[in-house]
Amino acid sequence: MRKIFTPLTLYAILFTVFLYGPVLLMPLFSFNDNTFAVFPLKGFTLKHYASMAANGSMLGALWNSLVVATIVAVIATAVGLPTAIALTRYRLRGGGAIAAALMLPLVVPSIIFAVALLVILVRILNVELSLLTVGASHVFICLPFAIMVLMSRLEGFDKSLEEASRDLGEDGWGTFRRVTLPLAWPAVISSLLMCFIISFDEFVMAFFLSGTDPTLPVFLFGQLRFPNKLPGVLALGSLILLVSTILVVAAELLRRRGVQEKPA
Amino acid sequence: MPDAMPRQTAAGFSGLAAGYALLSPAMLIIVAMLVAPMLALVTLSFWTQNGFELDTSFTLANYWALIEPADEPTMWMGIPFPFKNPVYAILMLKSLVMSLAVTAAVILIAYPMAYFLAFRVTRYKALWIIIITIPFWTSYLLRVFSWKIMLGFNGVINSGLMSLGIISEPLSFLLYNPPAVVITLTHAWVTFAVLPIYVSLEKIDRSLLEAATDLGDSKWQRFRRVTLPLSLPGTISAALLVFIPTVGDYVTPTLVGGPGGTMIGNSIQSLFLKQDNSPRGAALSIVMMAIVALLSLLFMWAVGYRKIRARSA
Amino acid sequence: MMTEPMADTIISLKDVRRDFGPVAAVDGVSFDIARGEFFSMLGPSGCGKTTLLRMLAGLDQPTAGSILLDGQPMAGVPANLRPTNMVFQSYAIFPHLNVVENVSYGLKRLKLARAEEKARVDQALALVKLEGYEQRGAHQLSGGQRQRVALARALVCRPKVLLLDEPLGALDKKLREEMQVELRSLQRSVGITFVFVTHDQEEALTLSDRIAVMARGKVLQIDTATGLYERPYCREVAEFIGTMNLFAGRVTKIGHEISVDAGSIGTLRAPASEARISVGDAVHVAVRPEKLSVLTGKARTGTNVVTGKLVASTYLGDRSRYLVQVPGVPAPVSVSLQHDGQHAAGVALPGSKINLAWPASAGIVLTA
Repeated sequence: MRKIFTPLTLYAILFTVFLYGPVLLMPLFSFNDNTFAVFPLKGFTLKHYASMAANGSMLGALWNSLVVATIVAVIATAVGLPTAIALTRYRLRGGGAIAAALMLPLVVPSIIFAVALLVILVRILNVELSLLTVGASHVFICLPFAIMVLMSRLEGFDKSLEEASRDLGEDGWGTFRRVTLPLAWPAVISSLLMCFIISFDEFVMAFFLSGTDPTLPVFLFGQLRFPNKLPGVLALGSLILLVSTILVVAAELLRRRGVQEKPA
Repeated sequence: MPDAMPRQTAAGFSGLAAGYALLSPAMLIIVAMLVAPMLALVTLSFWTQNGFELDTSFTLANYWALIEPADEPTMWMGIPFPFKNPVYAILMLKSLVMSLAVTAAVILIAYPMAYFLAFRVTRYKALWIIIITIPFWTSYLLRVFSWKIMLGFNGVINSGLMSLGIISEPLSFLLYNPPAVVITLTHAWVTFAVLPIYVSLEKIDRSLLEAATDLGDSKWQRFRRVTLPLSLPGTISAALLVFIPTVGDYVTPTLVGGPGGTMIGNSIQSLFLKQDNSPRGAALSIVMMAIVALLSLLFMWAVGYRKIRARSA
Repeated sequence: MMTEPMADTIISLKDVRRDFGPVAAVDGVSFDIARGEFFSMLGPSGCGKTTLLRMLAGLDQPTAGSILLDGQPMAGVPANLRPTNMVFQSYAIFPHLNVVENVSYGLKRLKLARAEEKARVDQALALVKLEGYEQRGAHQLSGGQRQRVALARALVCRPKVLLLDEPLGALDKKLREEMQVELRSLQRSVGITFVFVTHDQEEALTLSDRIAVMARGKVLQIDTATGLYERPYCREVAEFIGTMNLFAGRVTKIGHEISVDAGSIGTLRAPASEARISVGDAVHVAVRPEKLSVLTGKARTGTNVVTGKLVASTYLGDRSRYLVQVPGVPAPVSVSLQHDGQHAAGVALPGSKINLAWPASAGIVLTA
């Protein structure tokens, strides 16, 4: 690259500003000593964070989200791993159709799945809505991401490594434990992190399928209607953004390392 | 699944059995979370809500309610809607138009960025890609909400412009209208479109571009004749990946749309949670999905997606 | 490198240099290529031949030096405006276009009448024997067919120079040999100058009017196939083209022949060479395996006679190859013997003592 500052580079910078600008307003105003998110800035304060930390129902919602997201991440990854192995290591009749069905949550508007689950749970099965129903729906929408991350890793390393393990006398389980799992490990962690974030941030499914116990996004949505709750929302939102960003970067770095390790 | 690892090749019978055993949890989830609920949704759409009771006798009334003709057509944006409940058709059309606008804006904004990533970035490519991906993974709700802070009557743009002395009164046309929804959705989805386009650009063999130049193309001709056609598969998938989910979006119109910016998703939500008419809500969901699916297929057929994909494979 | 003035020069390189960071991929190269010539650039990978070709195409710019194409300086002329066309190593067949669309790609900007464009495409397809494949998609073509499309696509533009970047490298051996013959006759029939890059010496020797042997960004020698084989300028060329036996020594006398004292193997004689040599210089006397003969009967001593132990013999049908370990010579001496009755197959057994000799005229004195 001889010219460093081409119009396209300028565009990329503007794009990044457009992408991040609005989102970064939230942390900016969360430290501002004002109940409204308006310019000019008045002064630095941490009181919004302090009042948030004292909010019992918010802490309850946070706890709910943490529990749901953790369990969802574990289940989605635990289901995703054998699925990814089956889809990459076997040529199964109908495998493509199953993979396509599993990818549906990526495209179909989540409101469709939300109401469909609502119907079967409440109208047909008469199940009480709870965090359990939220979690079940989250497993479903996390699964495509878990499978994609795991599949790209499994496709990334040489299949003959597993064959070599077989040749050296390991059985199926031993090969999985001693070869496949260690090699897929970065992707497993990455999948756990991604599923955690997706579940933790998910709103529409939780909005339709949670009972009296809200998850954090549902709680947050309730607060958005009240202008006087704005500072608390800003503080909480900023924290969520920070945590998500850290987890995404970690997941992404792990995934990339996992993919790039394949031999040239 | 102790004995569930592949036996050399996938050809053997026991290998196949192991393969299906590995797939069984996922298949269970498909049945429980996809097939059964969808069947329930379809079934419900043929039933009727009678107060708190569900009338389970088969009826097409819920679908009929969506298209029942009226003597006097309702006018909306100069278009006549000859329906008794025109709100559904109007919202459907509005949602489709808004989604199309979002899709067009997303592709136009994302393409140059993807091009930049594929052809201009040589060092720190991974860093750039992470920068582009982070917003996609952070809370959708919060990203949409940040536009409410931006565009609100007491929002950042208004207060900023006022404190700079450019305007004396807050601008009221920024928030709570369809353009606000389109802007917000574009911002929320643009990062989702960059990656598929980037991947299809990155896959283009650089010697093809050199060959085009060698055969006499200028940079612009080369883009039009080689780069653009070869990036179409990724661009088309990106367009569909944005268009399909945004038609049914619920969060954005609720937060920044106001009464004028509602979309079909609001109507579905209202039928289920407020009007307590879930059978009609089910019918509306199914019709929306069918229309979106049909339009997507039509679009793919129109651009010859299969052929494009096969050729650039 | 000396460049004789040529009657009809199409390409003229002067001190062309291309640096990639601290590395000189092409390190001051000057030579001319004649109109209508089949010219090859031969060398191991990384010798700068492809970079040189890309600079001719305009896909890369020299750091220094000048390139004249048909008398026109090419500095600042972008690839799309140069009268050259290239056959890429990967063929670079546009996957979204069929055969006809690929071949007519470069014609579109000429805005020819429909009939004329079709005629030119048909002619080009006939030239590469691809009639009947017009509507095939790129992904429906075999390697050989893709190569023909790439050729037709470049030739249809009627370039002044056709540049070929290892175009046969991706083909299997049999197809490659067929294509070599076709390529040569194609070049004769269209009369366009071909500049051909390859790392396969046999291919270069078979196809080319002249060959530039390159190493480390420099041109070592430009000559005809015979010239390179019979009169290599330096040890590197001698060893790169075919097999060469080398005997180290010091020059003792220069007359109509050069005498070299090769230590334990005695005095060697070779014809005087063009290279500047003075008495006392360290040189190598180089001899091709087929110039050596096995002396039968009693062991003899004298000039250009060496004695060694047979370490391996390989029967190759029409000839045999011996490897002879000669004391004082590091690498085993390679001998190629034609089976013409005088040397019957399988005469010598490994381990047996053997005397080799060659006429003074067969030796070449190499300075480096």
